[in-house]
Amino acid sequence: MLLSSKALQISRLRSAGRCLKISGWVLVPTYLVMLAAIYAAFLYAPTERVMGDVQRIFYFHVSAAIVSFAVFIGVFLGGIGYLVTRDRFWDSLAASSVDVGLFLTAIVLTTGPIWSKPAWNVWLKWDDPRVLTELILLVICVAYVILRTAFPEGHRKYAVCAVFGIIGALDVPIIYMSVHWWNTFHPVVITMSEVKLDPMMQQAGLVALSAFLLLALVLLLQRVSIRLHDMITKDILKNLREQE
Amino acid sequence: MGYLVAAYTVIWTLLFIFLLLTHRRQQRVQSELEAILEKIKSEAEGADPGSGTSRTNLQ
Repeated sequence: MLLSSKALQISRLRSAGRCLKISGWVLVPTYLVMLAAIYAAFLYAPTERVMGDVQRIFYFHVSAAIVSFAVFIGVFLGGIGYLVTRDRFWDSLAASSVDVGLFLTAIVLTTGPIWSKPAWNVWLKWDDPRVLTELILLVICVAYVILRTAFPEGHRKYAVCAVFGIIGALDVPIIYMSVHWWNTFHPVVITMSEVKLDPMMQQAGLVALSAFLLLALVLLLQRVSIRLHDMITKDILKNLREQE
Repeated sequence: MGYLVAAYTVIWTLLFIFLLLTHRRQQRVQSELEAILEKIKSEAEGADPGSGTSRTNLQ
């Protein structure tokens, strides 16, 4: 049992090392691409005719939203992975994805009102389905983080968090489809089949999207390695206490 | 527009420095944990596996 525990610790440490190595490789390109995104959003992209310069927040708002959706795939897969295998690596992946998802969702819900007030003269329209479903996602993320601290360490905590995370991730397709299912004032600029934007705006949007994707990857890999290190340290201390 | 570009660049650079420092600290934690696990492993291999007296000194 002790030997298998040590083998597991070594395997987890190797996984943490791999995550760190990849995040190290991606870190400098992330910085450069984000600088390019700032240049593209503020200087390269043309000014929108009706809304003016305030529309430039679109590049950060939409990119953060799309990447947060992608991050919640990690929450879903991590939850399913843990429930099937009971391997805590999957729990670490899910919890780290929620951390990054919370950060991105907060960006979306901060930039949204900043854009909405000058454009539509309202900070937040609470009865708008997309705003409401996005807010539900933020509340689920916060509840997930609170849930993790409330439960004592053990399978029950990881299983409950996995189920909660899966339910939270199921909100993402609802957010995406909300503008099609219900009446909304939220503009539908990007759909699966077309992007209703000027080509230069599209290019700026793509650079911003790449920057946010890389940033999310760096944050996710760092969070996973921190959680794995934490897990290994706790296991070592537990083993030492048991030996005494 | 220039002040917005400057503000975003400064904030992003600060965030990047934070990420870089976190990454370096993580690397140190990684090597320390590798050393600890290596020490535990070598001490466990040196001790008699049947006696249950394997101890680790992490000081």
